[in-house]
Amino acid sequence: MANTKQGGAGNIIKLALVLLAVAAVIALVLGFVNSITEGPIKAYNDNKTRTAYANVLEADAYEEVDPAAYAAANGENTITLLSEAKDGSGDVIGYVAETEFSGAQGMITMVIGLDADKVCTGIYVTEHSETSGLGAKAAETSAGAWRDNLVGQADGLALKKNGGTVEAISGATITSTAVVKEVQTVINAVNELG
Amino acid sequence: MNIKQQFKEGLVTNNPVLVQLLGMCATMAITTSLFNGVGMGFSVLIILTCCNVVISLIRKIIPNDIRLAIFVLVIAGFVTIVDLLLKAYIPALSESLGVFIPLIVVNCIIIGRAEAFCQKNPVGASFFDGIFQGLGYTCVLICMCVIREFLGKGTFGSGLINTVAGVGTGEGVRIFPAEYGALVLTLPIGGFITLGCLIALMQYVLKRSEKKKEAAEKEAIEA
Repeated sequence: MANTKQGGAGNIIKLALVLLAVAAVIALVLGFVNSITEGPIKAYNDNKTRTAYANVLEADAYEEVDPAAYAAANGENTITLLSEAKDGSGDVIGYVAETEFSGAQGMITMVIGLDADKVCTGIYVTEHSETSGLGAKAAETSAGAWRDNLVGQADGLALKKNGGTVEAISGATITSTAVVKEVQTVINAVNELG
Repeated sequence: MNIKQQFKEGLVTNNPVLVQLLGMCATMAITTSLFNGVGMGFSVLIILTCCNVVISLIRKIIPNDIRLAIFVLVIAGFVTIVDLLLKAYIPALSESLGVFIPLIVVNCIIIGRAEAFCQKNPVGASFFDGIFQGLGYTCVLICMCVIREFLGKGTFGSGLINTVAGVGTGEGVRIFPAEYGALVLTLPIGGFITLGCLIALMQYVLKRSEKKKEAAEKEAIEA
């Protein structure tokens, strides 16, 4: 187990090779496990996104919008996908946006729905690392949860303390501000579509 | 060291959390529901056992100078495997535990047992060491969860019993209304307090059994 101290360079090369060998074996095993689990993980995430879309704005079809059409409003690249929500006859009934932006403790991934008049129909947080009981309240989906405050809000969204109409989560100003800013960004993007 | 001895040590006399004081961070942070506790406990048990076996297998060929680096590599490998498997097959647990699954890499129990035990012991003993230390850890987690949930929220088995929409949801069996619970116990403060009390209790029990043994030995000598 213990090595007697040998000449410097040769010993270091041997140690490096042992580390390389161990790391290579582990990397191989991980690659194999990853190839097995990739499928189920992707299926689960896609299903989560589909649930999120239906939760904020139900529609018969969602058609992606060309990112160039709203590039100016999406300056910080927080909108990862904007789609038009269409009903059975192909009329646009609203918009759904997948967004990823900075919260208080890390990135928040959120789906936002707007109706045809650019009024918010709801939000659905799919991923976050906010503090439980504080910022995490933005992700609650039960009846009467904080996110209901955002339904019905139109262009010019802001927190009450900043002169707007949205009540912040008490003790979670950063998270509340970030969410409100993101909904406004999506409204700006839809406005840019014309 | 025989298996019965290892069993007693893993669960009581050398309990990783209550006696060795290792792995306390996760213990305090995630023990807010029984689902979390059981899930985390078994994840650590599996990772600990696998790491113990592998490190014991290669103990004779690891150069001493880089043994810690190799331990961490092996542990990180197994944690990543468990993380991927949980994300794919038990996503509810993965989301509930969040960042604490990757944090198992730095859980001192695993690297502590690797350094203190697996380096010098054969595979069989290391395997059982992993199982019993993991069981000891899981038992502590379950105790913490049951106490914090019951006194803090008035429920039992949230996430595992009476699951509403699949495993991981629902609040379990409600024993008394939530308003009468001491909500502070579900916050980090509560974790600290509960863990402190459990450690104190364990120390008391161990001291008493030691005193009893000494008294019995004295009697045997004087007899």
